[in-house]
Amino acid sequence: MRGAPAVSAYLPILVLGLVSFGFAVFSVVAGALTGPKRYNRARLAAYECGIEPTPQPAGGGRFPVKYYLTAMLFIVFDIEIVFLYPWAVTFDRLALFGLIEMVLFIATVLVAYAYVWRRGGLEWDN
Amino acid sequence: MIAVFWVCAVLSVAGGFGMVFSRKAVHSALWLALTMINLAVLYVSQQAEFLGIVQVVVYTGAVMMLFLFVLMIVGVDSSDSLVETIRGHRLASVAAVLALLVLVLTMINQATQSLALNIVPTGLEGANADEGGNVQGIAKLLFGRYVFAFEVTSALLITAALGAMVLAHRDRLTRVPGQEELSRERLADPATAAGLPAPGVYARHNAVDTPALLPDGSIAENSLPGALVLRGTTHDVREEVAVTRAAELASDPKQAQEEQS
Amino acid sequence: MSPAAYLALAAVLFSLGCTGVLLRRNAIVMFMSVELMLNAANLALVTASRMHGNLDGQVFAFFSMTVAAAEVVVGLAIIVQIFRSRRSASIDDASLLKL
Repeated sequence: MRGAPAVSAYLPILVLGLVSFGFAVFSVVAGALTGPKRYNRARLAAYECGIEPTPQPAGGGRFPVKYYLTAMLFIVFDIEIVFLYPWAVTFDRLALFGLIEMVLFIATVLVAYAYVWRRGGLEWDN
Repeated sequence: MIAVFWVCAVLSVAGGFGMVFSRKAVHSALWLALTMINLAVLYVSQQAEFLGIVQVVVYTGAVMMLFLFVLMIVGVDSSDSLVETIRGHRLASVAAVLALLVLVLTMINQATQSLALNIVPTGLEGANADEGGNVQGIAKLLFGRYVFAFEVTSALLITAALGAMVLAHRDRLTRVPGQEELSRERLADPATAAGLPAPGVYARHNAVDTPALLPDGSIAENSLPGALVLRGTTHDVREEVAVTRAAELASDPKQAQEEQS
Repeated sequence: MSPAAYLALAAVLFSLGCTGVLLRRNAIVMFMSVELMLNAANLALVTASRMHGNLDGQVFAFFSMTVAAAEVVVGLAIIVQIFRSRRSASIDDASLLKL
């Protein structure tokens, strides 16, 4: 069968996935079966330092994710890393030409990095 | 191979359906992550090992994470309204998509029959082995024939970083007060020099939503957390204080006389 | 599996993405549908690469992934910006060109 050896090479990953799936299922089921079940309303309520728990305000469920700009910039540099990987694997074969290419590439991306840094895009309190 | 294809194909199509038809946007994002992981497996099963890993790292890892962040900012509970703004819009959309699907499938069918593509695909064993592996083969093309596109990609990355900064970054117009400034400001005012009053402690209620009483019996509004005041869920103690005060005065006639005079 | 099956799967996923763009009105879900369509195109490219026995298709898919990631960054930044000015992620509310 075409590509059969490739599939068997990935068998450990499949086994890992199955083991983690089995562990998750086991944890949930075992917790539900062995844990004590004495329910009352106060136990299910959220604990808010003794005050009456307040429902979410209208339009709720929003979380202030301060670092989403960092996440956006992470993707940009993530792509850079993805390009670096095949270059690193064939570094010796690409020789000087590959090195110049990559230096040009990184220098160009560094312009973006410098801009982001100077504008304060990586600062926490902004 | 056949088993891998069918399992992943069914799961990815299920993920696609889940994404389109879940009411909540977060569920859509998780369904799409399922589709993307299965697509990664399909890439690997087609001898595109590098692309499979990149799919997991870039799409499932970074892009879907960013989607979830933006969903949290916009509101996890945000769901679509079910009102049709244009009459017959849904029916027309589904009909159009089905027509497109039939068109493309017919095209694939025609192509595979006339070009005999379904007999034996060339396969990538040769191409992958030429350079010693899939990554090496891609690297040879990427840094050889497509080197210009590769360099231009760096300009694209600048554009993306610039777009993110211009659209999502907000410059502060004033400096954030630091610990020192805040401390000095607090000490400058005698009313807050010793800190704000703590919430009240009562026989029936001693949580943070209950204001403290000042020595003269009035309510100290600044003993309440600002968030609870904004939510309007603070405990109103005025009535209880009045009742207690009346009882105190009734039990102590001397104090009542003082109060009257 | 024959390439035709992979191509058919890509067609189905592309149509699903198309359905999402046409039916949904939450800007983020529409954007996710666009991503699904891009992924379907990538699957077709990878299939073509295997069919013809050279790696050009995979390199194309690789470039398309990087472009898609850059596009996601800018697109989501625009959605956040629209949400900030209109308090809504529904595209029906963003009917004017100016913010």
